[in-house]
Amino acid sequence: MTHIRNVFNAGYAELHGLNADPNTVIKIQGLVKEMLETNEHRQRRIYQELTEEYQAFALPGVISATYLFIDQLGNSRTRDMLAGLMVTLCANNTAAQRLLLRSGIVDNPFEESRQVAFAAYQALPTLLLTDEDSAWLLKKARQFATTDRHSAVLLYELLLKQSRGYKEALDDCRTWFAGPYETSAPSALMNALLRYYPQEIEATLTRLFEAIEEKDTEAGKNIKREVRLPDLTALKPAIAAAAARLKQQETRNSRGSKVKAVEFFFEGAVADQIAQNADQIATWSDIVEQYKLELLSRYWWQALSTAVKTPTSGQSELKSYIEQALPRANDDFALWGYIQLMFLANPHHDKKSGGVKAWATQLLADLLVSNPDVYQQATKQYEGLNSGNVGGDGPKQGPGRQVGIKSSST
Amino acid sequence: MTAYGIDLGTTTTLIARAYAGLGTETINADIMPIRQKIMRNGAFSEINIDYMPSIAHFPHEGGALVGSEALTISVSEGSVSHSVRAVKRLMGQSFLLPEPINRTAADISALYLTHVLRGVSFSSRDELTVTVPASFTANQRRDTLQALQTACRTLGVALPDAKIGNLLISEPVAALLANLAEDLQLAEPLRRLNIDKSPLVLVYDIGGGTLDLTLVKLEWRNPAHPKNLSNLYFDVRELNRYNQFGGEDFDIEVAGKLLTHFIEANPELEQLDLTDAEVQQVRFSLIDAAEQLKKSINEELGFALPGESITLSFTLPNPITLREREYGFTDWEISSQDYETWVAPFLTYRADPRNTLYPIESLLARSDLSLNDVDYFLLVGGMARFAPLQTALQAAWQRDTGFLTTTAPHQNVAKGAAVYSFLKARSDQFGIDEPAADAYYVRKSDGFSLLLDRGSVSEGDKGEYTLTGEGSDLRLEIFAGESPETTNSLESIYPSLVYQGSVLVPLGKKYSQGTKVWIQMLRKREDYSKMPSLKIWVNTETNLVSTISYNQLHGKD
Repeated sequence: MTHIRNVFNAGYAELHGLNADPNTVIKIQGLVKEMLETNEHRQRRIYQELTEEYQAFALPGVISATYLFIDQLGNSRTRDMLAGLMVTLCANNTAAQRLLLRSGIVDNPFEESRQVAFAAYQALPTLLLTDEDSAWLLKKARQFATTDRHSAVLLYELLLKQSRGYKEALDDCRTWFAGPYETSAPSALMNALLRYYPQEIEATLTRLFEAIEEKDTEAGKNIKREVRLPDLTALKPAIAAAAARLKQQETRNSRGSKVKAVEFFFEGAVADQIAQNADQIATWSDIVEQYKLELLSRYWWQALSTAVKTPTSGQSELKSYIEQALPRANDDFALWGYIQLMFLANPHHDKKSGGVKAWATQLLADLLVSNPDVYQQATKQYEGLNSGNVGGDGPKQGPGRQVGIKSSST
Repeated sequence: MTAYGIDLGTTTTLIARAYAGLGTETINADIMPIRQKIMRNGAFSEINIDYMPSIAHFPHEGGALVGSEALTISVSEGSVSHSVRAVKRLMGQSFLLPEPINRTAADISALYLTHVLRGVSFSSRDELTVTVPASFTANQRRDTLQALQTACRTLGVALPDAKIGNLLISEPVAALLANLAEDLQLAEPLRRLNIDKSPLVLVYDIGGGTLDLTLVKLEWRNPAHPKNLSNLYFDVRELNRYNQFGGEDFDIEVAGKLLTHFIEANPELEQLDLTDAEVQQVRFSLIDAAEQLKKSINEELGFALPGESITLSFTLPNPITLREREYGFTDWEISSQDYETWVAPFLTYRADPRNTLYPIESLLARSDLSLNDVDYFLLVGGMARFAPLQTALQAAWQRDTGFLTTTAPHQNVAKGAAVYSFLKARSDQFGIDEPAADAYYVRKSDGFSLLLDRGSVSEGDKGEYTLTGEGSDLRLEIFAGESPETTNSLESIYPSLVYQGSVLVPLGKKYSQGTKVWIQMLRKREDYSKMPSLKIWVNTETNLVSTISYNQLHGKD
């Protein structure tokens, strides 16, 4: 909505494209070039001239300057400066925001320039995306999904941020994960889905697990590295989605058969949240325990083990939690904690983990005294896992793991 | 055969017809009426008008409307978002106008062309010329040609390939042709231009949306032959860069003042937050009112003594309906002095392209010339009728003679285009060699490289490059901008570059990083539409892998 006095304000209906008024575009490009090369005092003067005198009319020139002077956008300082300028020029101006979206992001053939415009768009305090813009953007995103995944992710992020396009984004994301894994676009889109649709995390992850199981373990490895949960509250639906998937698996297959997608997800996204929120992890651990699912317990402890090796400020808190939780926990749940400690205490394992190995060794010694039955059972399982006779594994050990798998099949 | 010319203007479209005059070798041109619907007593009726507003309206149901009917409907409540005007400013940019328009500027221009050509029963036997600003880039010319091709397709008229390259002519040159055609009908002593002296003419063409300057040297091709248009050589020396500035800018500036008064007269409007459609409706209505005010002031000034200020009582011509209530104002006393104060930034010298005087200086400076070196100043275009502008330009000219205006400067461009059609029909060889306003560059990983200089050169240098990676397709990104000749270094022209589009060139097979590539841009001398093509060789200088016409360039593949 626009106040009637602003009907003729800069940029209201004039900003159709980048080249409509080449004289202004060229003048602005000259100012941007000077801004990129001059001292801070002059930079401030130019910034002021652009934002106060030209206002939104400067935007086409600023956008096109980003692809004329790509060579000078190598460092984040210049990129941030131009993105900041775009944000100021677009604030509370529908026409300017539309131009930034269409010409700066969607139709911009220059990757570096598109990134600057995208950063600006993301930083806008208020987005004025109309229904018509959204419909157009969604159409473009779907087109890009088959030709240019990075562009599709950019557009979907914009839509998801505005609470639009969830179904289409999830469909495309699922298709990408179910097919050969290319670049990091599938994970980037998954992260956007998890971030902007927290109420759908369980459904989203369920589709993700299905898709990965369908096809490609490469994709699974990538989710360990690339997929991340937005915050700690996302753990609850994530655990629920994993539990549902594992329950399905336990019903269908023999005990012990792994669900790699869930395992990778726990070692990546879940471990990351644990490492960041060690002080609150007891609650979540209780939730996992209540599910009474062997694989879920196992992956949870794998995630805890990964987190405890991560040198964060919460590392000691996490160690304390494990020290207190293991003696108290239900034996079935605790079993996988013991096993992970054995991996951590392994003399050939993770030499760089510093104090973790010594800590695990000491804790295991204490547990042997307090609960010898579980300890014995864990030792048996651990040896089985280490020799490859049991389906499953502990923390990854690099190339050696491939040898182990190969021996098992002969 | 009939020779037609169309002035496809930012705010109005005109069509003219040229025919042989009474004397030998003389050519006459007339503006043709365009059938349009106007509102009379609450109902539309058809009449002939000698121009058509370049406005289109796309109703909820039924086909598109253009011209006066579209203008009338566009300012009514709830219609404005379905209307579009001044699309000429968007030519060369391949995006679709937002819903519900959902068409490109070229599509909408095609509607205007279809309407005017249908009105004259245009057929494939006829000759046609459409005008474009001299400074239009290849992209803008390409879109104009596409609009014309679409219109002909709609009308079922074949457009022979041989004619396509010679369908466009620049507006200033067309206006000059019209003036010369008129002048050459007069006895030699009465003629305003003395071509025997090989004069330098500055054509100042200011229309609704474009200010186009062209510096032309006129000479007889053969002084011994009859002194007629066919014997005239137009040496186009200088063009300004495309300058999106014209009468509509005056109207928008004045519309801002009308808005202030409109709100003062209707203070309750301060409480309203307008939707996008309402914003457009208020804009359209006030710009339309400003245009009418400009015409009224100009008419009154026509009856005033030189230097005298006039005052008129202005009432908003059409009340603006917002939320089912009509708003307007009546009897606002506006003097010509008020008006000139409002538009003073345009009429008083300022170093800004959006000024009526500065572009003259900047154009002549390119050739190290001043206005004193120019023999004639020809003022044409719709806005040329505006008395305060004439006064400002005459003051800058500082001479009693050589400042040429015509009685209907807004019709000169269409008439000149028709004259050009007539000359083309008379001889296949006839053509006016106009240079392009911009030079063309290709983007490299480390900057830009000149492909084709501005001016009339038909072939750019065959530049040698290497592939930056392994691949079987080469992406070329083309920019237009200043000529490197006017600056000290190539890098200093970078800010003048405007992206034109990219093309993916199939190399035929995969080549490794570092493979040599040669690229050349060519503009055929006989192709007056000024659309260059690209030739690409790979690996060896004889291995030509592709010749690409400009039409294959896109903003994004």
